[in-house]
Amino acid sequence: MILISPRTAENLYWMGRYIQRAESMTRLVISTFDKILDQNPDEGNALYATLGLNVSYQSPQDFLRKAVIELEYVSLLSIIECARENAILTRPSLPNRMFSRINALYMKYQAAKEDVSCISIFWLESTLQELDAIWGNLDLSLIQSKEIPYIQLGKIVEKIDLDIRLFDSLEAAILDVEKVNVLATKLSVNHKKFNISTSDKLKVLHAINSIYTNLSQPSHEA
Amino acid sequence: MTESQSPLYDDFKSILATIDPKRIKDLLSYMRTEAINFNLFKDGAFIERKFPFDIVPRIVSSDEFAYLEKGIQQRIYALNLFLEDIYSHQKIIKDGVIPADFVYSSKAYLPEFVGTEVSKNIRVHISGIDLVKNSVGDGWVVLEDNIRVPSGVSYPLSLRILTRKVFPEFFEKLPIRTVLDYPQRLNNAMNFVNTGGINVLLTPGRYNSAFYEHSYLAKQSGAVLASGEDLFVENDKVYLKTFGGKKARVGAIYRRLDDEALDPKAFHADSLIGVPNITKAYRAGNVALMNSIGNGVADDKGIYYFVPEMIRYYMGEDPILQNAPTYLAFYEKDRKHILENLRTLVIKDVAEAGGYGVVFGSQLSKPEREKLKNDIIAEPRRFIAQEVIEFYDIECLKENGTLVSHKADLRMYSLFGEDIFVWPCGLTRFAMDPASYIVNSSQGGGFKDTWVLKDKQ
Repeated sequence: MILISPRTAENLYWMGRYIQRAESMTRLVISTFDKILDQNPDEGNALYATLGLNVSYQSPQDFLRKAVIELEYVSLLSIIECARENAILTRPSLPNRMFSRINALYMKYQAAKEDVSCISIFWLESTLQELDAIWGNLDLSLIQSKEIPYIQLGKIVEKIDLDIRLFDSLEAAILDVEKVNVLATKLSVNHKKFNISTSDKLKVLHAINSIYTNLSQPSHEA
Repeated sequence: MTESQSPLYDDFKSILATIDPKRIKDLLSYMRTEAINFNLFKDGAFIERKFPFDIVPRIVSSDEFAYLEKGIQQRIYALNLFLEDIYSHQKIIKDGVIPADFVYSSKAYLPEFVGTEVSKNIRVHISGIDLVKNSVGDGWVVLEDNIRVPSGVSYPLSLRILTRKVFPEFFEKLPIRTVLDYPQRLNNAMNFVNTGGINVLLTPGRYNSAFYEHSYLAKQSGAVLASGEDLFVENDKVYLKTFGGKKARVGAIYRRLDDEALDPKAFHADSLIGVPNITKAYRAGNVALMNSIGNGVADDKGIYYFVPEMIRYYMGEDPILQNAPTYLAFYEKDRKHILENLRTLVIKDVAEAGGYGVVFGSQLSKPEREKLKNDIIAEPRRFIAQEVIEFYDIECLKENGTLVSHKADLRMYSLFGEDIFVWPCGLTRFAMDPASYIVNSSQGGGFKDTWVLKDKQ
């Protein structure tokens, strides 16, 4: 039996998702900004349209400010805030340095909210380095705790979700399916192996996003 | 008067003078990154707030600590006996030491728990005794006993851990006692009363002012951090819900909820943070609650008046630690004194905590004083009055490098398990305004570490 409450497990899973989302979105914001600069000024609209949002901006810098700080729910600040909130709720389960790095990243974004002039591509690249370090803390933690697979499952589910949602890529998702099965089996011996056997992306999205809920059901006692 | 101008601080100050101020900024930054928060609710809004701190510690000599340790052990032992008595035979009332009306009218007295036995007869597992050092006579005075849900232990502990990293020279050169075993001792105390099952720290949740502390102590002591919704009661036993639908039996709960919020079936029905029927499991002896239910009757500000008598009654000893000179409006003679000397006294509402309901008579306008007098006459059980104690200041280091004196108290923690362990540290709280006497964290006060020095032997 894994001695972890369903609430904590869910917070860990979502923390993994939000950290991965922060990483994927940071990469996208960097590449999109690059294209807006001198290739396609509407590239930012296209990015957010894939998420069902209509976002307008006046200039490349304005796009950057909105993407990093201002947009509700999808700005990098909002995503990092959600990751941090889940980290606060699950702090006893996290490696100390992992928590500190998440909090430090949040503080950096809070400071940027007060002074947006610091935001640049160079600045965003340092965010990627910090996110790498957060994942590194998890992977290199000497304590291979029972909680880590929940975070790792969230990370991989989010990656597959965004691969399909943003890049329309089932192929990339298929490459990660085995990782999902390994982690899900760690959490429940009754996990039914997950496969991508359809090209219907909506069905795959639904299936991948249902894995955690299915695992947490009583029939999946570990 | 300023305590930190005594020779005891000389060695500390000479090391401090050699420190590059940039390293103090490192410590500040470290504390921020660790999110060592004491949150506030202001005007109905949740404010995530760093707990302000200062790096100049309170320093306590080994002899002074030995005295405080003995005094606190004596006090906790007596308070525990008082609670055991009040929730069983009530001999202290029958023998006329404390008036029955005074106990029964305490809002924190829970008659429905009379007859409920607790694991190992321990009720005061975790306590925080608030003291000040009187600059007149240089003696320690107890201001309050906190034996319901005392908070704060994690702050000096966290500061100590970070200070050791940033300024190891203090710990290399000064004989400071180690304090890092507090979580292990907490774990031992939980195991001692555990009735079979896992240890849990029950938190009101993320928006509680001391959530950082709940999270920290759970991690360091090995207890599972749980909210009310994570626990349930079945056949008078408490269980933790676990992932995948299983359950784990709970044997000891370090609860950080007040009695009223603990069980919506027994206390406030609208409590969303409690555990329905947890009191049934407690009554059945199937779970140890730390601290026990109903302890508030012993740390009621009015009952405080009687603690020295409790020590004499139960232990046959003279109290080691002194109370502040206190008057009970409940007694007619005292009430007359209070009403005649309101200007020179501190008046405390026994129902309040956290520095609320504390009024300095000298600071009231005439209409305010008249209103307070009427309130005291109408509800004498609600008020106590104390002589103003001119307690020592301790210096705080300002950004410009100067030291400024602030009023500071000391909360000392103890754990009651196999024996009573008094932690050789404590939360020194200081008033943010150098002119103020109110040091409470919930009123914006800051904190310091407390360094207890080793015996010279």
